[in-house]
Amino acid sequence: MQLKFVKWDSEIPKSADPEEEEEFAFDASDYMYKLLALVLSDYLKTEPKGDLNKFIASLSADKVIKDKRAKIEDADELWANIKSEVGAEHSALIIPILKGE
Amino acid sequence: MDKQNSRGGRNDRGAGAKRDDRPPRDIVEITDEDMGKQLRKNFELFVSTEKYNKHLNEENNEEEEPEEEKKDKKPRRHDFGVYRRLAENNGKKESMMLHFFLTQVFELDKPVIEDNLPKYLDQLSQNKSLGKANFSEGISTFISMMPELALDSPLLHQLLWKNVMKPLVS
Repeated sequence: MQLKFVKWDSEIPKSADPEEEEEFAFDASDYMYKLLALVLSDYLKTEPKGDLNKFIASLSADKVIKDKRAKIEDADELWANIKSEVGAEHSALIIPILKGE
Repeated sequence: MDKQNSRGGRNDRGAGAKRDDRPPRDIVEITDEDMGKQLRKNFELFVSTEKYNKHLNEENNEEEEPEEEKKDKKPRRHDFGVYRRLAENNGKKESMMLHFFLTQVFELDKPVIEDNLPKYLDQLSQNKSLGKANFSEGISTFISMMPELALDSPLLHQLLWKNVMKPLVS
Protein backbone atom coordinates (compact mmCIF):
# COMPACT_ATOMS: atom_id res chain seq x y z
CA MET A 1 0.00 0.00 0.00
CA GLN A 2 1.18 3.52 -0.73
CA LEU A 3 0.30 6.39 1.55
CA LYS A 4 -0.43 8.64 -1.39
CA PHE A 5 -3.53 6.56 -2.14
CA VAL A 6 -5.01 7.13 1.31
CA LYS A 7 -7.67 9.83 1.24
CA TRP A 8 -7.77 12.16 4.21
CA ASP A 9 -11.14 13.61 3.40
CA SER A 10 -13.26 10.60 2.47
CA GLU A 11 -16.96 10.99 3.00
CA ILE A 12 -18.43 9.32 6.05
CA PRO A 13 -20.15 6.15 4.80
CA LYS A 14 -23.92 6.36 4.82
CA SER A 15 -25.67 4.36 7.49
CA ALA A 16 -28.06 1.57 6.57
CA ASP A 17 -30.47 3.03 9.08
CA PRO A 18 -31.98 6.29 7.76
CA GLU A 19 -32.78 7.45 11.31
CA GLU A 20 -29.11 7.25 12.21
CA GLU A 21 -28.33 9.74 9.46
CA GLU A 22 -30.22 12.40 11.32
CA GLU A 23 -28.22 11.96 14.49
CA PHE A 24 -25.31 14.22 15.36
CA ALA A 25 -22.46 13.70 12.95
CA PHE A 26 -19.10 13.14 14.58
CA ASP A 27 -16.87 15.10 12.27
CA ALA A 28 -14.29 16.67 14.60
CA SER A 29 -10.91 16.62 12.93
CA ASP A 30 -8.64 16.17 15.97
CA TYR A 31 -7.95 12.50 15.26
CA MET A 32 -7.09 13.14 11.66
CA TYR A 33 -4.45 15.67 12.79
CA LYS A 34 -3.11 13.24 15.40
CA LEU A 35 -2.79 10.52 12.78
CA LEU A 36 -1.17 12.89 10.30
CA ALA A 37 1.30 13.96 12.97
CA LEU A 38 2.35 10.31 13.44
CA VAL A 39 2.76 9.92 9.67
CA LEU A 40 4.84 13.10 9.44
CA SER A 41 6.94 12.14 12.44
CA ASP A 42 7.66 8.76 10.87
CA TYR A 43 8.74 10.56 7.69
CA LEU A 44 11.13 12.72 9.73
CA LYS A 45 12.62 9.60 11.31
CA THR A 46 13.65 8.30 7.89
CA GLU A 47 14.28 11.71 6.29
CA PRO A 48 15.47 14.00 9.10
CA LYS A 49 16.20 16.81 6.64
CA GLY A 50 13.26 16.10 4.38
CA ASP A 51 10.83 18.74 3.17
CA LEU A 52 7.64 18.21 5.15
CA ASN A 53 5.58 20.46 2.89
CA LYS A 54 6.58 18.46 -0.16
CA PHE A 55 5.79 15.22 1.64
CA ILE A 56 2.38 16.54 2.66
CA ALA A 57 1.72 17.56 -0.95
CA SER A 58 2.67 14.05 -2.08
CA LEU A 59 -0.01 12.71 0.24
CA SER A 60 -2.53 15.22 -1.17
CA ALA A 61 -3.14 16.22 2.43
CA ASP A 62 -2.32 19.94 2.15
CA LYS A 63 -5.87 21.01 1.34
CA VAL A 64 -7.47 18.90 4.03
CA ILE A 65 -5.04 20.21 6.66
CA LYS A 66 -6.22 23.72 5.81
CA ASP A 67 -9.90 22.90 5.47
CA LYS A 68 -10.31 20.84 8.65
CA ARG A 69 -8.85 23.40 11.07
CA ALA A 70 -12.31 24.79 11.67
CA LYS A 71 -13.42 21.41 12.98
CA ILE A 72 -10.78 21.06 15.67
CA GLU A 73 -12.57 20.62 18.99
CA ASP A 74 -9.90 21.79 21.41
CA ALA A 75 -6.82 23.20 19.68
CA ASP A 76 -4.66 23.63 22.81
CA GLU A 77 -5.29 20.07 23.92
CA LEU A 78 -4.69 18.76 20.40
CA TRP A 79 -1.28 20.42 20.01
CA ALA A 80 -0.27 19.33 23.52
CA ASN A 81 -1.27 15.73 22.73
CA ILE A 82 0.64 15.76 19.47
CA LYS A 83 3.72 17.14 21.23
CA SER A 84 3.62 14.34 23.79
CA GLU A 85 3.16 11.72 21.08
CA VAL A 86 5.81 12.74 18.57
CA GLY A 87 8.24 14.50 20.90
CA ALA A 88 9.46 18.08 21.15
CA GLU A 89 11.86 17.91 18.21
CA HIS A 90 9.37 16.69 15.62
CA SER A 91 6.44 18.63 17.03
CA ALA A 92 8.42 21.86 16.59
CA LEU A 93 8.43 21.14 12.85
CA ILE A 94 5.03 19.49 12.48
CA ILE A 95 2.67 21.59 14.60
CA PRO A 96 3.34 24.94 12.84
CA ILE A 97 2.49 23.29 9.51
CA LEU A 98 -0.69 21.77 10.89
CA LYS A 99 -1.61 25.12 12.42
CA GLY A 100 -0.88 26.93 9.14
CA GLU A 101 1.70 29.27 10.66
CA MET B 1 -31.65 -4.17 -2.18
CA ASP B 2 -30.77 -2.20 0.89
CA LYS B 3 -28.20 0.55 1.19
CA GLN B 4 -25.50 -1.77 2.50
CA ASN B 5 -25.50 -3.85 -0.59
CA SER B 6 -25.96 -0.91 -2.88
CA ARG B 7 -22.44 0.09 -1.88
CA GLY B 8 -21.24 -2.35 -4.47
CA GLY B 9 -19.45 -5.62 -4.70
CA ARG B 10 -18.19 -8.04 -7.22
CA ASN B 11 -21.68 -8.45 -8.52
CA ASP B 12 -21.66 -4.79 -9.57
CA ARG B 13 -20.58 -5.27 -13.12
CA GLY B 14 -20.67 -2.70 -15.89
CA ALA B 15 -23.04 -2.90 -18.81
CA GLY B 16 -20.20 -4.17 -20.96
CA ALA B 17 -19.51 -7.13 -18.70
CA LYS B 18 -19.46 -10.50 -20.39
CA ARG B 19 -22.63 -12.47 -19.88
CA ASP B 20 -22.87 -16.21 -19.53
CA ASP B 21 -25.70 -18.68 -19.19
CA ARG B 22 -25.30 -19.18 -15.47
CA PRO B 23 -28.21 -17.92 -13.39
CA PRO B 24 -27.35 -14.84 -11.33
CA ARG B 25 -26.13 -15.70 -7.85
CA ASP B 26 -28.61 -14.87 -5.12
CA ILE B 27 -27.13 -12.31 -2.77
CA VAL B 28 -27.80 -13.08 0.87
CA GLU B 29 -28.07 -9.77 2.64
CA ILE B 30 -26.31 -9.39 5.96
CA THR B 31 -25.69 -6.26 8.00
CA ASP B 32 -22.33 -4.54 8.05
CA GLU B 33 -22.11 -5.33 11.76
CA ASP B 34 -22.53 -9.05 11.06
CA MET B 35 -19.89 -8.80 8.36
CA GLY B 36 -17.53 -7.17 10.87
CA LYS B 37 -18.21 -9.93 13.38
CA GLN B 38 -17.45 -12.65 10.81
CA LEU B 39 -14.19 -10.94 9.96
CA ARG B 40 -13.29 -10.51 13.61
CA LYS B 41 -13.91 -14.24 14.10
CA ASN B 42 -11.58 -14.91 11.17
CA PHE B 43 -8.92 -12.81 12.90
CA GLU B 44 -9.44 -14.65 16.18
CA LEU B 45 -9.00 -17.97 14.32
CA PHE B 46 -5.80 -16.57 12.87
CA VAL B 47 -4.58 -15.75 16.37
CA SER B 48 -5.25 -19.30 17.56
CA THR B 49 -3.58 -20.75 14.43
CA GLU B 50 -0.52 -18.63 15.10
CA LYS B 51 -0.44 -19.85 18.70
CA TYR B 52 -0.73 -23.46 17.56
CA ASN B 53 2.05 -23.08 14.98
CA LYS B 54 4.30 -21.38 17.51
CA HIS B 55 3.70 -24.17 19.99
CA LEU B 56 4.35 -26.76 17.30
CA ASN B 57 7.56 -25.06 16.35
CA GLU B 58 8.71 -25.09 19.94
CA GLU B 59 7.80 -28.78 20.25
CA ASN B 60 9.72 -29.60 17.10
CA ASN B 61 12.76 -27.94 18.51
CA GLU B 62 12.63 -30.22 21.50
CA GLU B 63 14.51 -33.47 21.09
CA GLU B 64 12.30 -35.67 23.27
CA GLU B 65 9.45 -36.43 20.87
CA PRO B 66 9.97 -39.28 18.39
CA GLU B 67 10.43 -38.18 14.78
CA GLU B 68 7.32 -40.11 13.63
CA GLU B 69 5.07 -38.15 16.00
CA LYS B 70 6.58 -34.87 14.90
CA LYS B 71 5.74 -35.68 11.28
CA ASP B 72 2.07 -36.18 12.16
CA LYS B 73 1.75 -32.61 13.33
CA LYS B 74 1.89 -30.11 10.53
CA PRO B 75 1.67 -26.34 10.77
CA ARG B 76 -1.78 -24.99 9.97
CA ARG B 77 -2.48 -22.48 7.23
CA HIS B 78 -5.04 -19.82 7.92
CA ASP B 79 -8.07 -19.62 5.64
CA PHE B 80 -8.97 -16.13 4.40
CA GLY B 81 -11.88 -17.46 2.32
CA VAL B 82 -14.42 -15.45 4.32
CA TYR B 83 -13.44 -12.34 2.30
CA ARG B 84 -14.30 -14.05 -0.99
CA ARG B 85 -17.53 -15.45 0.44
CA LEU B 86 -18.64 -12.06 1.74
CA ALA B 87 -18.04 -10.56 -1.69
CA GLU B 88 -19.61 -13.34 -3.72
CA ASN B 89 -22.43 -14.49 -1.46
CA ASN B 90 -23.27 -11.28 0.37
CA GLY B 91 -22.33 -8.65 -2.22
CA LYS B 92 -20.05 -6.83 0.18
CA LYS B 93 -17.50 -4.33 -1.08
CA GLU B 94 -13.92 -5.26 -0.17
CA SER B 95 -12.89 -1.83 1.09
CA MET B 96 -15.90 -1.82 3.41
CA MET B 97 -14.83 -5.24 4.68
CA LEU B 98 -11.53 -3.77 5.81
CA HIS B 99 -13.25 -0.82 7.46
CA PHE B 100 -15.70 -2.97 9.44
CA PHE B 101 -12.99 -5.53 10.19
CA LEU B 102 -10.83 -2.83 11.79
CA THR B 103 -13.81 -1.43 13.68
CA GLN B 104 -14.37 -4.83 15.29
CA VAL B 105 -10.74 -5.84 15.80
CA PHE B 106 -9.80 -2.60 17.54
CA GLU B 107 -12.17 -3.65 20.33
CA LEU B 108 -9.81 -6.49 21.22
CA ASP B 109 -7.01 -6.22 23.76
CA LYS B 110 -4.07 -4.11 22.65
CA PRO B 111 -1.45 -6.91 23.00
CA VAL B 112 -3.57 -9.22 20.81
CA ILE B 113 -3.77 -6.49 18.19
CA GLU B 114 -0.11 -5.60 18.33
CA ASP B 115 1.10 -9.20 18.24
CA ASN B 116 -1.12 -10.37 15.41
CA LEU B 117 -2.76 -7.67 13.31
CA PRO B 118 0.31 -6.63 11.24
CA LYS B 119 1.01 -10.29 10.39
CA TYR B 120 -2.64 -10.95 9.56
CA LEU B 121 -2.81 -7.97 7.21
CA ASP B 122 0.48 -8.94 5.62
CA GLN B 123 -0.83 -12.44 4.83
CA LEU B 124 -4.16 -11.00 3.70
CA SER B 125 -2.29 -8.76 1.29
CA GLN B 126 0.12 -11.51 0.14
CA ASN B 127 -2.60 -14.00 -0.74
CA LYS B 128 -4.58 -11.27 -2.51
CA SER B 129 -7.76 -11.85 -0.53
CA LEU B 130 -8.10 -8.08 -0.68
CA GLY B 131 -6.81 -6.06 -3.61
CA LYS B 132 -4.20 -3.35 -3.01
CA ALA B 133 -6.60 -0.52 -3.76
CA ASN B 134 -9.04 -1.87 -1.18
CA PHE B 135 -6.51 -1.41 1.60
CA SER B 136 -6.09 2.31 0.95
CA GLU B 137 -9.81 2.76 0.32
CA GLY B 138 -10.76 0.87 3.50
CA ILE B 139 -8.29 2.88 5.57
CA SER B 140 -9.60 6.13 4.05
CA THR B 141 -13.13 5.18 5.11
CA PHE B 142 -11.87 4.25 8.55
CA ILE B 143 -10.16 7.65 8.91
CA SER B 144 -13.43 9.39 8.09
CA MET B 145 -15.10 7.47 10.94
CA MET B 146 -12.33 8.04 13.49
CA PRO B 147 -14.01 10.91 15.35
CA GLU B 148 -16.92 8.64 16.24
CA LEU B 149 -14.92 5.46 16.79
CA ALA B 150 -12.38 7.23 19.00
CA LEU B 151 -15.06 7.98 21.57
CA ASP B 152 -14.54 4.42 22.83
CA SER B 153 -10.84 4.21 22.00
CA PRO B 154 -8.91 7.46 22.42
CA LEU B 155 -5.67 5.90 21.13
CA LEU B 156 -7.28 4.67 17.94
CA HIS B 157 -5.01 6.76 15.72
CA GLN B 158 -1.96 5.11 17.29
CA LEU B 159 -3.38 1.63 16.80
CA LEU B 160 -4.22 2.44 13.19
CA TRP B 161 -0.81 3.85 12.38
CA LYS B 162 1.37 1.32 14.23
CA ASN B 163 -0.54 -1.85 13.42
CA VAL B 164 -2.14 -1.17 10.06
CA MET B 165 -0.77 1.72 8.04
CA LYS B 166 2.91 1.58 8.92
CA PRO B 167 3.27 -2.22 8.38
CA LEU B 168 1.34 -2.05 5.10
CA VAL B 169 3.44 0.85 3.86
CA SER B 170 6.66 -0.90 4.90
